[in-house]
Amino acid sequence: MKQFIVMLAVLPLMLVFLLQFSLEQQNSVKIAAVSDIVYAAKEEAKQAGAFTAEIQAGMKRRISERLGIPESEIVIESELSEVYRVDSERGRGLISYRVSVPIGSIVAGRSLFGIREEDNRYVYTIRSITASEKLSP
Amino acid sequence: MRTFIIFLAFLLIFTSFTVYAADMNDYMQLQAELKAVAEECAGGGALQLAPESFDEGRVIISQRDAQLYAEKVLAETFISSPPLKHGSLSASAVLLSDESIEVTVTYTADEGYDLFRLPFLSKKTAARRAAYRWE
Repeated sequence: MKQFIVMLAVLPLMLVFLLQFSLEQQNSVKIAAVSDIVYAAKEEAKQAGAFTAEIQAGMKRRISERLGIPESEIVIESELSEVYRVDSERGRGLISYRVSVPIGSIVAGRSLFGIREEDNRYVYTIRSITASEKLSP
Repeated sequence: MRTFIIFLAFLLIFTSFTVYAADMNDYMQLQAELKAVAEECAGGGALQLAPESFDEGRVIISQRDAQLYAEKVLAETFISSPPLKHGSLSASAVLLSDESIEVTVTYTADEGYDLFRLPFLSKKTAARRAAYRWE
């Protein structure tokens, strides 16, 4: 009986490690997917001179499909107006962008450790610039 | 007592394994992020042509402008991954020829931070390189 009670106490603690490992792998795959999609969209934006509405919509759709989250939770900030490789007024054309995607929980079994749900959310953010390759008309 | 010692041993092994797996995932992601940043620095750097040579119909990349561009990219880049919150990036642009450039982006961890938290593993720097050529 004593062994059984000890097992009941230890088992949930040991299971957390298994769940945490699975969660880490899952988050890692999600982050790699987001990173790849944003990189591909950035290459498209270089050619188009901006993160156009189509590029932004395509990026949101792909992230949403891969991560299984609603498109409304994905935040993309970038100017829609085109910039050119060499602009007579602004010099070298640079496109700035910022993408934020909620990845999910950080710690498995948060209630066991008394962690609040809002403290256990990881939002992956990429902010950077890229040089436009679009030639001015 | 024996059961307790076995429990402690399992706890130690499981904790070490979980921490190592998390750190390795972050390290692999850091490598991918460094490569993406290096590609951007090299790709954008290759567009920094010396205007006087371009006027003469030749393609010569300006190393100074490429280096400035790489530094601007690093200054404007923010990625919310754990290693990049506890470290800094530097870039070095080198001309391989007039029309080709290579950029190396190096990550250096802050003082007291290690990419691997286990005491018997230590990694404080990482670097990735990208090269572009006009053809």
